[in-house]
Amino acid sequence: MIASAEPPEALPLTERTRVLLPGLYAWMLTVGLPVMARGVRTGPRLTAAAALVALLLALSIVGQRLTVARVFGIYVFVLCSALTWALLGSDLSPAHLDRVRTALGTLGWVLYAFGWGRVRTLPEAGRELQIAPGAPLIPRSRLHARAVPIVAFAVCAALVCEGLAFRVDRPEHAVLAHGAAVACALLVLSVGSRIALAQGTRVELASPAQRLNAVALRGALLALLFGLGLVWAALR
Amino acid sequence: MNDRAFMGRVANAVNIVLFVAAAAAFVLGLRALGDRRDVQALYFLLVGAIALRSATDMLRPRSSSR
Repeated sequence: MIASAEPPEALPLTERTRVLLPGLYAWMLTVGLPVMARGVRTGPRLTAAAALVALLLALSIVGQRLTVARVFGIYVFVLCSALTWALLGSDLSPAHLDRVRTALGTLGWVLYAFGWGRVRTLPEAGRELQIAPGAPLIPRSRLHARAVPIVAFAVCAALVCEGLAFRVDRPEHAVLAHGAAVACALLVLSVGSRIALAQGTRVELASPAQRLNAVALRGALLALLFGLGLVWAALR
Repeated sequence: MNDRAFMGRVANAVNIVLFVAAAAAFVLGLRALGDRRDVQALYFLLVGAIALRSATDMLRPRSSSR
């Protein structure tokens, strides 16, 4: 339980770093490096620099004025980055992009978004939390031992799906692959977390017989598809 | 261990197997797409979707029977 909220101006350095580092990382890989190449005009370089300044400015005032910081750190930063990409034009075509760098840049933008999501939950200036002091609350139940491996597997599978999409080199198929990879990753994470939470839960969802009967039809369909796959593989 | 507890463990095991199979099918499907094996990719993605839906239905079987 939180005894009292920290003063807004004393936003911990770790919270600033949580936003600053992913933002810098994403900017460096996806905005900074492309504009540092030879032959790039002044326009994209100016917008890229503006994006960096907006990010640093937002981090300097995030403790005092969260709304203004959010405008600079999210809207201005993303707008300037997008403007840079638009001004780069053909310099940013898929033929000139490094796949690994692009994948790592995507990861950087994801971490940047999570970082700002975390900042959103911090107490804003002048609005301290009113929570009574006391002993920390004890959770009603603990996660089952199988839950962590299941979630870890889901995260790994989701990352592998995202990475495999970058192997597709045909342009039209690459768009489909990235869409399918994002959908697969989200589905695997969602279902994996639900299965992990259901392990060892005290709340009985349904009887085991009902649960097994629920997948009888789709299980038969899967068996049929598996058989067809075996026949297909044997005939090839 | 009584029968109900045993069957509960079996249901949990089937649930996890279906989930792992779905994730593996998705990975194989995307890998096949990268190797220009489009029919195989569709096959694996379809198998993954059905397996994942089955794993979801095992968590809430009543809604799936409607």
